[in-house]
Amino acid sequence: MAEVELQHISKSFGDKKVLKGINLKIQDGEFLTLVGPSGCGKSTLLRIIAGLELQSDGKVELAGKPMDGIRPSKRDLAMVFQSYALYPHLSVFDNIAVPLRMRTLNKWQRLPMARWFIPGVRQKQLQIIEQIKSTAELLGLESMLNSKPGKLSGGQRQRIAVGRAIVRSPKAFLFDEPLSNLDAKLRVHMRSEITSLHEQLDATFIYVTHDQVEAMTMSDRIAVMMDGEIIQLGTATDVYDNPLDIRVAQFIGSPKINLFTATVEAEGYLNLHHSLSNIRVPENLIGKKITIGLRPEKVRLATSNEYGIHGRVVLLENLGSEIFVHISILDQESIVVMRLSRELADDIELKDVITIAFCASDALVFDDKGKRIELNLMPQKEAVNA
Amino acid sequence: MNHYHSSFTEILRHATLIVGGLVIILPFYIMLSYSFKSPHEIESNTGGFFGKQEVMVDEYCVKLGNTRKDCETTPIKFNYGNAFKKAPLLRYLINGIIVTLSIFFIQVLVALPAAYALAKLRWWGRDLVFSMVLFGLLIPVHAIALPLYIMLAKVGLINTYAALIVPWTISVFGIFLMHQFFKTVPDDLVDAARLDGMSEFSIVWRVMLPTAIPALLAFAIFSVVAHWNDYFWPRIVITGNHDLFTPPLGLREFRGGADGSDWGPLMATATVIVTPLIVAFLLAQKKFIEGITLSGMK
Amino acid sequence: MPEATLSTVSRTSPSRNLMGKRPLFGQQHQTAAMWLSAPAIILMLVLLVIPILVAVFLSFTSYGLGGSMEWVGLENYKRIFSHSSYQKMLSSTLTYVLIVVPISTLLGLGAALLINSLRFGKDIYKTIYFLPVMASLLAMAIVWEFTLHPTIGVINDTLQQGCNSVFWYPFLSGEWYGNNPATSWYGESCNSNFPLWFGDKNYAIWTISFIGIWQSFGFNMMLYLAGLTSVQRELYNAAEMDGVNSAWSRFHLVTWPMLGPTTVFVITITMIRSFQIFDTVEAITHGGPAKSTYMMLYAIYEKSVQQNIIGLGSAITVLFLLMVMGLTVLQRWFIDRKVHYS
Repeated sequence: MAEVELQHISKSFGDKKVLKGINLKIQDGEFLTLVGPSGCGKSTLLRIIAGLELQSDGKVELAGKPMDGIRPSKRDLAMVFQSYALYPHLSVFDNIAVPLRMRTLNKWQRLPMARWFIPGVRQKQLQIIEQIKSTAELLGLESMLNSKPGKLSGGQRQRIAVGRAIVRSPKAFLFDEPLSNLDAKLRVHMRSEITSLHEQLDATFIYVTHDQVEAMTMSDRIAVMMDGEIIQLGTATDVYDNPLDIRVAQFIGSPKINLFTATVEAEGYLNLHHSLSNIRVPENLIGKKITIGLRPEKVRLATSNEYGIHGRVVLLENLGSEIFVHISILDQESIVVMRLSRELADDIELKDVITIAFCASDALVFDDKGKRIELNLMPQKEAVNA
Repeated sequence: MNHYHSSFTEILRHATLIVGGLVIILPFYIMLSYSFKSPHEIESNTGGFFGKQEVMVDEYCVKLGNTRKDCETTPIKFNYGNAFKKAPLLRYLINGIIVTLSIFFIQVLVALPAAYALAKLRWWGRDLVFSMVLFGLLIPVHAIALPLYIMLAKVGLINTYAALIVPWTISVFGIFLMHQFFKTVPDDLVDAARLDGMSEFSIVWRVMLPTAIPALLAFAIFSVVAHWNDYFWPRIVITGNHDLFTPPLGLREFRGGADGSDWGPLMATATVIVTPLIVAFLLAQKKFIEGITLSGMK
Repeated sequence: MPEATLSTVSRTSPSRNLMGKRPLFGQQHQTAAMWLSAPAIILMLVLLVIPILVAVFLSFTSYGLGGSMEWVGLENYKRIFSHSSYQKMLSSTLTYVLIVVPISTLLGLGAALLINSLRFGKDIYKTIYFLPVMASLLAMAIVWEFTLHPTIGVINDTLQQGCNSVFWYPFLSGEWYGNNPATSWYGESCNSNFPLWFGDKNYAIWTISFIGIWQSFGFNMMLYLAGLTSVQRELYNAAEMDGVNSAWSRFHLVTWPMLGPTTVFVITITMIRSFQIFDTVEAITHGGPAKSTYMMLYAIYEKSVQQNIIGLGSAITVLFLLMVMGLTVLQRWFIDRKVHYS
């Protein structure tokens, strides 16, 4: 069993509080991603799990056992570093061999001539060679086992780093932004490789990234971190459809969610366009500014008998399979982005004035502090001529 | 990960370093302390660090015919006084400054343009000259002292400032260091200067020099320390003229004629010679250390 | 990179050279470059190349200043390899280098490792250990001579006082583990006298080497400290995750290999410097006792400047050059390449 539990983990560097009381339970065999913008503390948290950083407060438990005072080399974890941290003077084979040799041979058995003098060493060494070969095959590294990392490409080095981590079977795997140094195409490819690796190994993966696409596509669960706290923990669907904090709504999803601010008027109604006017919020928010969010794919072209909002097209982004249309709402400064399929967007040109519409039931409502409120819809009033 | 080092090993490390440090400091301590002591204290190894500074009688002065009363002095005055009187230590110090600074300035005058030409210009012969520089780096500095000595003797320049300075005016190390440094300066800077109408000569002194201050500083440290402390070459070329002695030569001269009572003044002379660089180092440690590591990296 | 700048530079047309022609594209700044590097070129030729040629030439002669020059062929070289004093010269020099270089390198490495791992006090130690490098070797050699003086020197004086002490005598003479004190080094010295550190031919070379190490390892320490800071931090973290938890394993897997280039540099520099040892020998031991500290540079000085036997001095110079330059080149070519990994 390899579940990881973090209890009230805090960390300060001098005066700066980097982690503010993290509580997290990671299940055995789960792929959990810590995602957030730079500086949110996710790498620090990962290193605390590994034991490379000491937490200021709180407990780390691996498989039910507390890890206080236990150094990283004894925690039976493996880590893939952002810079790969391969030993430049060793061949690929020797790089992958290091963790195996360290854990299965003691220092006498590791001496160069040991296999002539100490019984059992030769067998262990043969076993090690077998394990390395099978790991290399798994990752497609067989052809470069004798090369040194300096002569290989970024993608190859990344796989060697992964190989070094998986060659012995640790309790859990830690990944510190492993794909950020790769170019876009390679990144997409490696995402699927890591995901299938997870399925093959059936082990706990704790993955850190700032890229929400990686988080969404690869994980079983996502922990969104900001400013040293986990502000939401859930599956990709949870986090996308049901963000509990406006920051999560803004961070997850590309293009970014459309946001409108509104002041709460009498009885909890909003001074917004008719389409959203039947949203009702609790009365304790009267006078405050709240935010409504709408995902780009929930914005559509108004049908001829629908009452919509007018806007001028200011930018068209053609992705091949769909178009992102940026619209500047007339008489206001806000820009709304909508996603349209190619067929629907074909006639639209720059500077056109078009009419967009959406359903209030698709709206995500956030209070003045950015926390999500439940959507409360009153029956639709009659349309007033605008 | 330092939180896995125990305090015990930390203490052990400090202990080892302190013991080593004591061995390192020992001669400095001896030199300074004994420059304060009277002949009697020196022979008997007493007196604490500063010596008791009891009034003593300068035997030599008595021999010269003065009364014992007139010859009374304190050990510190005796030692340092002798250091400056018996041999013209002040003169030697001035020589040291003249020689060291002249060498450095001429080295820069020669090396900077050459390094610029090698690093930033394309010309026929550049690779050949650069190979000469690399070859020169292989030559141990003092190895060719003998033929240089003969050449200088043949033109009658032995026992002159020229003999002390001229052989060092070419510093291939300086050229190499500056070359490596100039290579990191963006070419655009040079092109912009050219477009402004600057001649290559002005570019060297108005554009490259200001950017090269850190490297120059490193080079200055090397050059000054090496030539202030140089004993071998002055020993060879200054054979008769005591007025041209550099500080180490002065010290050696003193040592050569020293008898038992002269250890004090000898230590005083050594202190005077060693102190300028030590003080400069203590005051500007960071710069020194940066300079050493900078040139080491290149 | 030169290609890229060419197009920008070509906006200013190159000046015509002395022949009235515009220089070829690749040699735009020919005249300027040649004027700028002329002083250096001339000085290199006059002060580096020509002296080597002169030395080689004179090594085949028997020449003395103010005297005649006769061609003697390989005579000087034969003398060096056959005559016992010159054999001692070679062996003393090599002994000195072989003692000083490894120990100075290792001590520099050790000091750097220790200092690097401290939590506080780094700068103080760095300063202390670097002091000898700044001080004139001649001056400090004389101070060491005084310190190691057989009778009034602090060292022997202190050792002598230990002879009477109740604790130190048994401790240092081995009496405490049952050794007969009279047979131990300390015991014997107490009975007769403590060594003449410079005057005894068994000790002199070691004393000189000690001073050489004392003066040089601070510099090596600095170079190693610089090298240590350039080791990628994450490698240590990776090693820790791989199960490396002893200081020795960390050193063996990460530190030592990453310090390869630094080590080559340190050894080369220390070697070149130690071959050129002169100050201590000339001022204190004068090559003795019994030529046990007869170093090559000193021999050159003695033969050529003092005794005016310049032919022989030149031959030693040539040998010296060959040895040092040869060793440097060997190191650079063979070892340097193995040690750079990218």
